[in-house]
Amino acid sequence: MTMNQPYDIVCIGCMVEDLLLSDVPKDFYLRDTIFLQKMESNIGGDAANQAVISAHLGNRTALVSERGADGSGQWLHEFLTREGVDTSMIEVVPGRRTPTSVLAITDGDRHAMILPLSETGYGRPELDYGILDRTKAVSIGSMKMYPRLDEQLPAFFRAAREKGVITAGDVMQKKGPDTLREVYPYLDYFFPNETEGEEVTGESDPEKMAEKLLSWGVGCAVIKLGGKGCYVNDGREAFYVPARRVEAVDTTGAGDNFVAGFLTALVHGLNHRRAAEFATVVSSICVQHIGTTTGVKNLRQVLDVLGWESLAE
Amino acid sequence: MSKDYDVLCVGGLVQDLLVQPIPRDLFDKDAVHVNSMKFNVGGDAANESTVMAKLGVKVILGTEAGDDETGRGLIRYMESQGVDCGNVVYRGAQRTNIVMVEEDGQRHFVVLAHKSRGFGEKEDFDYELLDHIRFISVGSIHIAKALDENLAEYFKAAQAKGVVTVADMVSNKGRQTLEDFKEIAKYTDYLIPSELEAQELTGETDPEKMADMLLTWGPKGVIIKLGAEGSFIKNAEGGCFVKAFPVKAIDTTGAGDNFAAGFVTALTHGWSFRQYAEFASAVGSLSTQTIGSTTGVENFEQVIAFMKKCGRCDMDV
Repeated sequence: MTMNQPYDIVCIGCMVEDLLLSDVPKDFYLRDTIFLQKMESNIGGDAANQAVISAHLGNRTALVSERGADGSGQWLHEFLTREGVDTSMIEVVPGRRTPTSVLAITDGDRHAMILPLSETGYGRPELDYGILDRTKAVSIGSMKMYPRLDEQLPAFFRAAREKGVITAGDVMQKKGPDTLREVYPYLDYFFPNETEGEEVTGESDPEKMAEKLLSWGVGCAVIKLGGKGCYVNDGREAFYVPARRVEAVDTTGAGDNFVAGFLTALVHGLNHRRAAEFATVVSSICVQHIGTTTGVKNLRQVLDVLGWESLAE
Repeated sequence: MSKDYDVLCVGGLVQDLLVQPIPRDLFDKDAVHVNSMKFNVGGDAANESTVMAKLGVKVILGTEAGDDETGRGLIRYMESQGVDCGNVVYRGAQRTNIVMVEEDGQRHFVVLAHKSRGFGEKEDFDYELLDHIRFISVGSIHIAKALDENLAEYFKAAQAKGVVTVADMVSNKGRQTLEDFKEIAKYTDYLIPSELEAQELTGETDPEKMADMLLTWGPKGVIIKLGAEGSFIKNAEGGCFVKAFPVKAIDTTGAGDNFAAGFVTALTHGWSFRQYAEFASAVGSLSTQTIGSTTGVENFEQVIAFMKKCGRCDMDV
């Protein structure tokens, strides 16, 4: 696999096997055996989800990640390749188990059972700076998931800036000291949801969250508000974009879809408002299907909802 | 098909995922962190064939796997264990049984409602393969509906080609009529029921009487598993008890599958009937020494060394 492919978006982070259990009764603990009509395995992991959606939307996409040499890891890897993601930078780590999450989806809501990745998790201690010569954007799937990765981000993002590469990051909830203060000054786009934003800034109001993040150096704060849409502040403009009203069947991965959509718009040169509108539609299609990568299949699907001819500005 | 095998092993392949600890207020949260998530691959034929491969047998597996990513992943895992998966049928969705374990150890099984008929539809049986194997080992009569319906015909064809037929089983629970079972027994060379199953089939309570009746139905050898008591075996030359080996059991999951794997492995060496049972007993006992169904037995030499240590190896190895 040639290492000189140019990419639009490189996603960095984890790939996970998501086992989706449909309609698990809430009183499961009162029963010996529970019979379900539906159970399926899908890809998960913020970076993996973002990569698949990004590829579906027509971007040249690569995923930098790691997996075990096990059955789960193998099928996830093959799935990614088939979905159009460049998987040459996925490292196979013998002895490591590919992460699995079990998600009980009941009444459209998901309740995840997650095995936290070990602190020494990320097997590739050295981020490959060569990526920055070959891509328009880098996106970290979940900051705070791998401390060793977070440590490298300030220098990595600074180098990205110098090369004109867009830097983006989502974040996961994690109690403890904020390890990202050094990263923010080099982060062009930050995509926390309301809960994550509050944890990081101490503010409960999205507008105050965004202000604080900008004061710490973030280029553009995009606060994902779930069913309420999103709030964007890039230092020049600040605005809300409402969510699109749809019947949500499974909200898993809506955030990752949103980020992939936003970055897609950015690499096509769209402004922040149009990027937010585009991203909103992408995530709204995602929630109408079970699974994170089953909703958004191609760019045309999204453009049709928006009534746009193309992604040209 | 140009490859030759010692044994075709047919039956079940299952996957469990144990998740713990699960809090009772799971549905009030977006996400909970668990301490452990462990996949266990099991199923009678999966266990038997894995252990046989470890014991140096050239084994080919006939089973049903899901026609999806998980199913194919499971088969690749079996191949990595040294099992040729040439007779695998991909059908339906791969079942994973989720075992939600609470903090205090209470288990709740989350399984798919629709039960598969399993491996054993007429089209699953490979008649051409019969020219390339010496033995067939059936993981369990009375689990897969399809197998129960179509096995007799395959066993008959196998015996006609000089292939030795072996079958383990589980309790009938009204799944199959006695007539239909006898039709399978007619073409089974070695039958390996547990004491309870043999009692259910024959109505007898004494192992020798059970064996005598089963022998009239077709088998040339019957091995009745008596758990910690070992086994009672009988063929045309006579019967005897074979003691279990002296071990302290840590986990007996899969011990029966290991016993069967040991028996069939011994068959491939062409020893005596009693020696088959001794070797099977050693393998079964060794398997209880570790947690998990297929981790206790490491290789052939380990079993022989164990048997010699216990003064029970009179084979020429």
